[in-house]
Amino acid sequence: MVGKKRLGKSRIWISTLLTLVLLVLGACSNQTASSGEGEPIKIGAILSFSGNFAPLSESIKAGMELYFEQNGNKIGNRPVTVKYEDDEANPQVALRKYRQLVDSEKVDLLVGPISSSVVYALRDVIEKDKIVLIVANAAANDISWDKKSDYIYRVSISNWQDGTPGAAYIANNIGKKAYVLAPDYPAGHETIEAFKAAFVAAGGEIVKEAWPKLGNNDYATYLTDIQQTKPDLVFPFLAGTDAIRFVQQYEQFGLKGKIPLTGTQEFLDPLVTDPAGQAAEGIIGATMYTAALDNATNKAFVEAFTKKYGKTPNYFNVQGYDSAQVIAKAVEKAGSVKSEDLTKVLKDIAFSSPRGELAMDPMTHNLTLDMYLAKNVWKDGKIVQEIMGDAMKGLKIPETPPAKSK
Amino acid sequence: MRANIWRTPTLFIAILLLLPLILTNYGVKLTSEVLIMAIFVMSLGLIIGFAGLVSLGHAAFFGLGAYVVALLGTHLDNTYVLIIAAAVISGIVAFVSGLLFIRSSGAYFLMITLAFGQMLFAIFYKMESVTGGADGMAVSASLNLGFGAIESRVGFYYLVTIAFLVSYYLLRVFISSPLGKGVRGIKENESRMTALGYNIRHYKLIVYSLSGMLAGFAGALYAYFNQYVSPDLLHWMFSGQALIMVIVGGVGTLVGPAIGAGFFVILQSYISSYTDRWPMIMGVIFVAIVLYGRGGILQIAMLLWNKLRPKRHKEEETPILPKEGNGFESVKG
Repeated sequence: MVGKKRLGKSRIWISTLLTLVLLVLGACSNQTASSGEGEPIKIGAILSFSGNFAPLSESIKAGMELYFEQNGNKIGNRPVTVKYEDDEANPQVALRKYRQLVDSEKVDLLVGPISSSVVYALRDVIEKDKIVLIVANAAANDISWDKKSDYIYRVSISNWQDGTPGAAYIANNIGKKAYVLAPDYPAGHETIEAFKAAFVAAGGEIVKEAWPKLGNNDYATYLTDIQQTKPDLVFPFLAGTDAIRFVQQYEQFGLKGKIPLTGTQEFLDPLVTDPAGQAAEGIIGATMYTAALDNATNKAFVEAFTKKYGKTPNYFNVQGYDSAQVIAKAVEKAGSVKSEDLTKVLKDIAFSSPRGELAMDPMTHNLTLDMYLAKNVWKDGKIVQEIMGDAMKGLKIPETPPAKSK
Repeated sequence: MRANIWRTPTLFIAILLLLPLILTNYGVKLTSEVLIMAIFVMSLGLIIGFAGLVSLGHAAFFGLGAYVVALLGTHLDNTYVLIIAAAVISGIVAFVSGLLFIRSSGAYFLMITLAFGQMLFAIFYKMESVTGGADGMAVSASLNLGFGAIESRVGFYYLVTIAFLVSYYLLRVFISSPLGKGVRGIKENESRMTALGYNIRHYKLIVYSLSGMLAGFAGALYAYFNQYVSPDLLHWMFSGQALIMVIVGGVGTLVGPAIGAGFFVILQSYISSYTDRWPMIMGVIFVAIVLYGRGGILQIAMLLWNKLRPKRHKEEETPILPKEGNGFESVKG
């Protein structure tokens, strides 16, 4: 009997506790609605501030903040607030953050994500909730093809556009036999696939493909393999720390200067070349942005950026800057933050980016980009990018997936 | 006495059922997620707290259940079949893997479940043509229990609430059954149970399979909840988070893990909005709980209650946390 009595007590206590926990849920949610003149415009940014993608996210955030600061944190006469959320590069977490931003914070539009898996996860809920997403980095091709949405517009670059532009120059000027290397995940395969198609079309030949895992520490086996394969050149696609390690180990293996190293735009960006140091010297490739680009917008951008942050901007900064800019332009032009008005103007929006004059391709919701050939040179104790010419002008992602090259 | 016993559960059920009235749209969605997580974490709490099997690969069963709904859902769209299939397949995988795993114990069991979980993760990550690889896949099956598709948030909330209550009740029944008591006996003193003539492997295997089944069931609900699955659901990081939820909530009880799940999910949702360093805050809380309150939030709450409650009850002072295996969960109603 005593046992039963005791049981009753603890039960009461447990359920009180549970009630409290659940009430906290209710108390935590706050609701605000925003619409009309003078009301703040709320932007939700879903980026990956923890994990491998943290430097990319911080860069995009810095770019966005710069733009809004320059414009007095206002679009038209409405103040702008940006809410940044960390998705940990995990689509499940991203969906939770999405609900928080859209349901609880009631944001007017979204910016994000870094990871392609996150953009795929968000795509269906975005279609359902009809909320505009400006893609600031995720490069998955399919978001412009089968998974294209009326509400998703990319102001960064697609994997296809990253792999394609340098290929013809490399085949004609550097060598015909390429060794390609990329991490074994969707972006790696998509980029290399695009490079292969363009490289083979230009008369080149892929002698070998290597697929290390994402987040690899040691490229020794692949570098030994490169030594033995003796290709004319190496074309890797790697990002972040992977790229830095690869470039450094490439030099340590004595391959630098012997077998020309080319690469995607990741290898021509301060985010990789600054930490990699002199090892990155001589890498040639195509890129959509370097701080050396000669146009008025870029000059002003580089100056403002260097003044605020004390360093050279990288292309992620530009992606952030342009995301903010596109939002501002679209809201001003549409005269509202309603998705149905925004989508009308976003389809073919044109703007002055530090990358040049850019316009959205209405067929793919992806930018038409000018790609530049660039080379890493060692100057005054640091790597800078030198522009060698145009790789491709007005490069659009195809409207449908190209037939696989085999 | 009888009224007393039924009062609290009834009160609790009533609160759960009335909650959507006071919560915002987002609150309802978040509570649904908490309840799904609670089912999953209870299934892990079952093997950790009652059978002494500490697993670091439990997310594999959760993810498996979610993928069953996503993959089979493209071929047939019957909610009952899909959810049952998810639970059964996860249960079978748990049974078959358990045949091997329960031979080991302690750190070895932890490592082998970790390896198994990562193996399943790698399979789903690599089978790009079927599962979409790292990009995950959308869940096309719609939730329909035979009387129209459940699309509203509140409708889904009630479904999950019922699932949670039923799971909780079944686990209680299991624990207080002779079978459950045998399982707890093994945790307390394995050699004694062997000496008494119990085949301890059978007991462990049954509870492990049951736990896998329940995790698969929770995973199936989660697939409907997010309408999207990705290999992250099977990753050991998620298993690790579930383990933390169990420990933070209170090992060796049924409600403890459920509270831990709520605590963790809410904390993750709110703290991370204010700082990117939320894992650090979670880490500090975790260390504090392990150091000062080994029974988790549940024990801390009981401690406070004993301090605060009126003097007149003092004469029937009870131990702060009932002895393992002799706790409030064990007494039949």
